Amino acid sequence: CTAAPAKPIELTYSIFFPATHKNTLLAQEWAKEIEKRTDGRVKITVFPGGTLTKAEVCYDGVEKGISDIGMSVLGYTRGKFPLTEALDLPLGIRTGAAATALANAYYRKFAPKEFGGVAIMYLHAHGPGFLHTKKPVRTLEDVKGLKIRCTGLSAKIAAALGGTPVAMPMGETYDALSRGVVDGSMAPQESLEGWRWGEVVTSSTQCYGAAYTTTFFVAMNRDRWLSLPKDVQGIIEKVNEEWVRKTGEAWDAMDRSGRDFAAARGNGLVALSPEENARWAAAVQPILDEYAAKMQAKGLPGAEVLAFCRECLKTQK
Amino acid sequence: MSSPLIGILGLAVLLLMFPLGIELAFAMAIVGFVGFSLLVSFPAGMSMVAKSFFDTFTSYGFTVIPLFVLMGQIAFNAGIARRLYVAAYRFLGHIPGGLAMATVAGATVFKAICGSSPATAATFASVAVPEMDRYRYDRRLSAGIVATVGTLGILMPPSVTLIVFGVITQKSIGRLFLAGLVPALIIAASFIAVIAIWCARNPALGPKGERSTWKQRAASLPECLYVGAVFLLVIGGLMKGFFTPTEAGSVGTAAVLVLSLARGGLGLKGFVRSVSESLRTACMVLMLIAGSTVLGTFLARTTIPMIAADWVTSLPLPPWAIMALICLIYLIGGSFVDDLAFMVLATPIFFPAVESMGFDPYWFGAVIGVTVMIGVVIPPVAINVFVVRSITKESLGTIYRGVLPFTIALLVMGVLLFVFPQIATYLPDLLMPGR
Amino acid sequence: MSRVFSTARSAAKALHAIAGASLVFVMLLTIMDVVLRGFGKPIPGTYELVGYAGGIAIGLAMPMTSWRRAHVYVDAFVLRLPAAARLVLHVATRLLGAGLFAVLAWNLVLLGLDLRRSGEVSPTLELEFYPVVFGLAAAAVLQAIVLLCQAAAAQRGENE
Ligand code: NA
Ligand code: NA
Repeated sequence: CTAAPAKPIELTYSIFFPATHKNTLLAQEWAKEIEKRTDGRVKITVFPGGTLTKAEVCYDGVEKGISDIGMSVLGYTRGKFPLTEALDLPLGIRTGAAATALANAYYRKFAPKEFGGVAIMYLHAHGPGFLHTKKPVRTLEDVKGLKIRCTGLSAKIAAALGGTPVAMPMGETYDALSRGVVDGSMAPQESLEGWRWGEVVTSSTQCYGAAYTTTFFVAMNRDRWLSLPKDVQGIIEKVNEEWVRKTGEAWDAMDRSGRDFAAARGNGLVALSPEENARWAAAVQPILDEYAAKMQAKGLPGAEVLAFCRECLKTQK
Repeated sequence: MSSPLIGILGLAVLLLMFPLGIELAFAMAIVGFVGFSLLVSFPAGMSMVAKSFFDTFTSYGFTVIPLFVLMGQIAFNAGIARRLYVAAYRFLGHIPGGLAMATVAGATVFKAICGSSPATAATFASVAVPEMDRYRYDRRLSAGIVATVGTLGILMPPSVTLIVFGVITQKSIGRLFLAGLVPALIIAASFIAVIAIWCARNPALGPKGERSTWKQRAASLPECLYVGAVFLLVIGGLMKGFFTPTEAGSVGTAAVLVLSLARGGLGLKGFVRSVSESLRTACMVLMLIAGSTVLGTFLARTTIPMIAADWVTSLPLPPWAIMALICLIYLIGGSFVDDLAFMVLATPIFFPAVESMGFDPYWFGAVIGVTVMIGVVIPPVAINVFVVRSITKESLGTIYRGVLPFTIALLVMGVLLFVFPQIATYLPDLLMPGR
Repeated sequence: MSRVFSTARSAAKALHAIAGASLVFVMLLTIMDVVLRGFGKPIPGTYELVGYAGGIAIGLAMPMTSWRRAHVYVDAFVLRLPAAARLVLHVATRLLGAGLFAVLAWNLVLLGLDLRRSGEVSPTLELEFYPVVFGLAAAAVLQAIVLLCQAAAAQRGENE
């Protein structure tokens, strides 16, 4: 006679991306893969669309056990991850894959204490955040006085470039662009299609010099993670490693698709010359300096992190 | 016990709690809290409740709601609603049912600057019912129409319901406002038609009033221009890109405030009363949203919504029939739970399915608007009817009987929206082309 | 007893007044922002300030809203019951509500302490959140007291 199969370990996974979003589908594949490789000993139910916890409460929700696993944006809880904020600075990233690889390399090297309440599965980050505008922006001077929709850190970038930052909900940005409440918006190219901004802007400026990213976390409740059998932990860690690459590439595929969407509508794409890019990079340098100074005041190795990021991005080119 | 079973049990407990006189928002939060704690853990449940309340109360999209309510409150306390009603009955008072028709006309214009449906119902219950009593109108007609005209607030911009819908679905609130406008005007016209037909069949319902002179009529008109100016400022400013739909609440409120102060008739007392009243209404609305967020988190965790959405979309039916079924669920759900609360609960569940079936989200907003309009006046939980009863002291039965003919007009509108989606989509496509 | 009543009432009124001021502030701030934006100088952080002040407006309005029983509830069934049953239900539902808000208040305090410890701030102005959370906690405490007052009043036959 065969032993009755043990009751599977059931985990909940909260994601704010809608059910049909590429990131949700990838997370679902992640869950399936773990189920498969553990022979069904682990069962993960994904709750998309923020039905279990909204984007801003996701991290705390994981810490408190509202969901066992969660994916959201580090920047939504400003100040909670001071050292890791470096990843969202305008470091001049080139691709989503590079930004994602950097984020995970940083996490391995510095093992920041600020993630104490959770077990990080992996981090990922979108492709270069560019400036999308109603009128073409070719030089730093063109940014002067533009009303630019942005939030949090990207507000600092917009201001550093000479624009006027305006914050508003994502859902209102399309209208605001179309009506001229704002003249442009900072985001990865993916948003041109995902939020259909391609229809209401005419030009995107590939300002690599000042390109920033937004870092996402995938985290599990710490106690829950520690309660998993060692071999299951091993399997999950293996899958996580594979998903770092997959997710980074997926972000770049979304960016390509967004760029094609805008191009098909006749939108322009401004590529800055190396000299101009250097000017943009110089314009945002004070933000990086400010970060380093702030970390020093807190006794955190901010300058070291920045140097590491720079080095890492250089070798990836 | 399986999670979905605990969810169903929780819903059953909720339905049993409602008639006991507990605040609906409290009941939803309690069931959500206890249910979630049983499913996950008490610390997780407690943390979830605190986060849901804090998150709802401080959300930008929701915190503009009191401003839209305030706009209407100032207009009411400055006597604008009353003067609008007077203007309408100068023109319509002499025909059978004319005072009821004037209520529809006055409320439609007033609604253009008032964000809340129960507030509109309350306003006209106190303004129009005494007037109709004076001319010996049947209470079925007078109380029925004031309860029903309030529902125009759900589709007529600026609508709190559509704002909440837009926040949940991340859709443009400006486009939603435009999608609601034409259906709202058609519904207002059909209410007038219903009154005409009903009074023709039973003249005792709404006896004729006095005929006003053209001089009196002309004298009443500036009031409409005055509201029209505020409306144009708000809509014009939106179209020109001076401000966003959520900012329009502040701009409109300030415009009404300045005009009211300039003309006199508001005063500091009136202003303080307006602020206090709108806080109360907004607190009531946000409490419902917070309560249904707690309940919604619990329900999501039971996976009932996923099961329900999968089931609905996998039915061997054409999309329009599935859509009709979804509307029916909103109608039945909204009849038991509060309608706004139910919309907050159900929309995240069904909206992805609606979009994946290829329906226009703005059209869906208008359809849900009409569904909610019916929901707020049919038993057992009918907020507008309760509001009107508390002001007129009329029996619930009489008001429900008075509301019935108008709900038929609403049903017809719902069917029309299915057959001619352009009723909702034409205006936004024309004025805000793109999505 | 009546001391408790009048104190709770004054406290609720005071919070309501702060809430009102907060709402007017939101209106003025938004308008200033819209106007100044026209001149290319919007007020930074308006978006998060509106959420912040709006939270204060709504949260602090809770006790007064409950005092007036302005939250939606169904009384059609209750009104048909004999007075004794009505009293029992009234007291029971008040106590349930008070329990809910006691739990809420306690966990808002915990949340506030959490936010203070983690150093979480708003995205642009980097404002701390915990004062708002503690404000909401105070309102929730008062809300629970208001509900208890209603229960006590009903028991003494004062019908709210
Ligand atoms: Na209802
Ligand atoms: Na109903």
